[in-house]
Amino acid sequence: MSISYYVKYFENVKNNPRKLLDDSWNFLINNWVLLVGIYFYYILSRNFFRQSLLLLQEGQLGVPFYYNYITALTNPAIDSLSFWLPILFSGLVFTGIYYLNIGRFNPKESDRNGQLVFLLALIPFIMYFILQLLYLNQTDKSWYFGLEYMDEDSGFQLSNDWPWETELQDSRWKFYAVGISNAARVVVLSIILSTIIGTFFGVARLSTNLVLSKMSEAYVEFFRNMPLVVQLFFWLTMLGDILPRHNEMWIFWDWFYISNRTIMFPRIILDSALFFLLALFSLVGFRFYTNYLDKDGFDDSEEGLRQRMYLWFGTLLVFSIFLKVAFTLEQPELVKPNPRAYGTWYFNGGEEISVAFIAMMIGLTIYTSVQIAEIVRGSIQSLPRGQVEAAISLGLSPFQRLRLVIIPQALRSMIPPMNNQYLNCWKNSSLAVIISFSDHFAVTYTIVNNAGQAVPAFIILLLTYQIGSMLISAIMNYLNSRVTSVKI
Amino acid sequence: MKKQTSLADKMSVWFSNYEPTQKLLHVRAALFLGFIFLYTALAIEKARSWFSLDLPFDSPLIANIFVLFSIISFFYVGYIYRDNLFSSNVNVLTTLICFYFIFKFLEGTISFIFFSANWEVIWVNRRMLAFGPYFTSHGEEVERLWPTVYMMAVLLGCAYGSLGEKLQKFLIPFTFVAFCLVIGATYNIRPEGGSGHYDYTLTLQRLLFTFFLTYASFLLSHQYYKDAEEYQVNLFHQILSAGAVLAFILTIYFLDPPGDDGVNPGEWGGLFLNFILASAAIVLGFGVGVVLAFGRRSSLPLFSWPSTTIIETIRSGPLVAWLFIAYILLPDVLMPVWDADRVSRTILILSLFSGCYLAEILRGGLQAVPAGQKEAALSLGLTTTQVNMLIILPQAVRITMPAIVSNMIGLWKDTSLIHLLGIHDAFQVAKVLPAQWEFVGLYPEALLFVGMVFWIISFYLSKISQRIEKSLGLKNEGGGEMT
Repeated sequence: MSISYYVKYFENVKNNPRKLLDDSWNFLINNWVLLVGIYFYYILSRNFFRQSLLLLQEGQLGVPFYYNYITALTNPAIDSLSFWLPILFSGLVFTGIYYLNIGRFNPKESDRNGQLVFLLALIPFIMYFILQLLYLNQTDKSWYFGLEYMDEDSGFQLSNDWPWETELQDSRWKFYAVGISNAARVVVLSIILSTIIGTFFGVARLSTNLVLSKMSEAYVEFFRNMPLVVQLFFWLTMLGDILPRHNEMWIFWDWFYISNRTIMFPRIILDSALFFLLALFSLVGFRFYTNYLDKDGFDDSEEGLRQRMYLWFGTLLVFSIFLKVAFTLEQPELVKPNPRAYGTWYFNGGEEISVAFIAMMIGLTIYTSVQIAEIVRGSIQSLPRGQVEAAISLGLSPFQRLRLVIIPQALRSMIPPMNNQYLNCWKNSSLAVIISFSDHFAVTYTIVNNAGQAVPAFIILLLTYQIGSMLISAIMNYLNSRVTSVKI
Repeated sequence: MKKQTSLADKMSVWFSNYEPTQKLLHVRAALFLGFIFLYTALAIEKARSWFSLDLPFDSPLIANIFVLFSIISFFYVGYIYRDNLFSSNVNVLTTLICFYFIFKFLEGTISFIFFSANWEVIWVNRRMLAFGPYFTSHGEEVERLWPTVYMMAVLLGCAYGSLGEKLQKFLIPFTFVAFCLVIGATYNIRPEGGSGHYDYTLTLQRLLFTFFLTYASFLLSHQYYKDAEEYQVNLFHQILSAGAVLAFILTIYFLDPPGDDGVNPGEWGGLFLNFILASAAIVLGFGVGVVLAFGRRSSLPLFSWPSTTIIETIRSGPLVAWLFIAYILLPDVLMPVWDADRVSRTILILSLFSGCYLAEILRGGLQAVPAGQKEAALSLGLTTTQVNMLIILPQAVRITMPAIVSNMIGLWKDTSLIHLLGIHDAFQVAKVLPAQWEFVGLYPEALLFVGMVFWIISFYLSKISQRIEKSLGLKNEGGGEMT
């Protein structure tokens, strides 16, 4: 790689002009991928350079910083710069990659030079994006970063804000918090339910009973390969179809009102905290007392069992009496100002859950449960066969085998993929926007439409999702450490 | 004598151990008959409720007899598998409950699909579902898609022909599909935009030409690659992959050639748009995933930090959020350099999103490749790029093939989310079809149809994935015999 090499080469070429042609041809053939890539890079970077230079003109980003040195970036200057700069960069990048490829450097040099070439190649794009973002930040409202808009009146209403109550004049923060609570409600409930259902179907798929295993396989395959959006929308429309209209609502003992507009149930009101605490104390006291009785072992004679049963019933009686005193149930009251105008009917008191919430619950639970069923099946199948055989030879019943031998071992390989599925469930809850269930994503979308500040809103949204994911991961990692702390 | 307690013993005495020789055939025949009997029973019931005439079958008894026949057929299946299904009292209860659920499910499904559903909503809007509203109102533009159909036909025939399987395994299902397509093309109850019958001769000619291409390419490639060496088949498959990419590019070219005429990507829609989005995002996403996976594993901070940041940021949010960002914020950034339409932006975001998940999958695969492979390749004198691309990446892809295919399935299902951007994909069309005045409220039909289309392709892909797993020897059969 010295001057003398090129001098010698040109002497050769002088003697044999054909060699130059051959060498050029070989060069083209050997590096055609690189050449094509560089051509595309040239086209791209030309465009990006031109736009960056246009942004550097006076007036685009206020008074430019180079104003003292260069009076103006004129149009001819931009034209010539955006013609030469991409050629220069493409040539540099091509040379850099070519020399990296033929391997003249030792590993350390290669690392350093590789990073340099990479940085060089990225310069036009980074420059453009930084300048464009600065420009947008100054001119476009949606790129203005400031959180004042979150304190303003929200100006819209939520279709489901249980258990909170929101008004038009509440700040957008409050609406966002209600959205988070809605999403968390759905996700926590559906994680719990789908774990139960999924474990059932995962175990049932391994059952020796052919019909049961085929049926659970069909369940899993059907709901696993259907998009969640279609399922959610299907459940919403089906619920709207099945549930009665508002004027024909199902009324159960004046306590529950079910229609396709809303579902009302009694509200539980805490009257006296003292009696609630007393109720809790009665349970705790029962636990301590039985521990005291069992300190020499459980008395399983007939007399002892009868006494334990009396104790159970007595405690339950006391507990329920305390609860009855502590809480009152508020009955939802249907008010009909004009019995013929169904739109004017409303409820006083009581709690309300929306149909969208139920559709969301059904869809999300089923979709997560089939994933969990697959995980459960996989981790049970990966257990050594000898474990089950040993359990059989110990004389354990099928349920005991499952509870005492299989599940505790399968949990070790089950929890990491389950963590993944729970995270998916948390992210999938964002599809609530399709069936107009107001989780924080739907609230954010409305806020973006109303206030127009998209960037801070989306940053808050992504942070919320990240924090939620980290919470779920933390809980699952704690469970994982609990499960794997026992060495087998 | 031993006391007989279980139901199986009693039944075996009653039926004197009847055991059919062709068990599977009997089971299939019994299930089919059960289905047919149930269908007949429901049909009779529906006929009685529809016509208030004095029909010869006008009695609930007739329908109930067919229901009884159907139950007997199901119990014959149960009897054949009696050792499995009725071995203990718990099993008897489970089986009976399961049979009850299956029976109820079948009853509901049959009466919905064959009697209460109005499938006309699908049939009348078939072009809307397949190509979106623009191609429906501009019927002549559909001609732009025929070259794609021809190319796909040739690719399909060649791909199945070079697998080296029996002829009938492809020919029978394909002939069935071809038959259905011919019927679909020629049988029309009401074409869009008119009350007359449309002239289907040209369509039929083109369709028959397509089938000719498929059969010819299948038979030729089957003949040629029947006894070929493995490397020849592999070379052919590589050529086919390149051909698929070329076909994709040509499809885009024919649809929207440079110039004024052509269909703007913003006007595409329907199921075919879902296909285009999914295939583009899979190919581009694979590139993104490979780059990010190697970047994240790199020891150089300039490569590893940005890759990690991109992967973790994009994985932190749901796809819907990124789609909205593509819809609202991306145009602001890209407008001066690239005036991208909605579909291109969606492809960009979808490929980035799936690429980030793929990068995490591939990273696991890259970590699982033994270090000796890299050392051996380096000592052979290969450069780092060659080692990564020719030695390490193929092994990593091989290990993670099931996860990659499930990622692809996820991407295919996720293409139904793009309706949020106002693009008329298949799901969006299915959502708005029940707003037509003739078909008000026919949500179950439209949604189930589109859902089943998504389902069939995902299911097909997952079956292919299982096949690949088996052929690569990745599957540990036998319920974990290994310890």
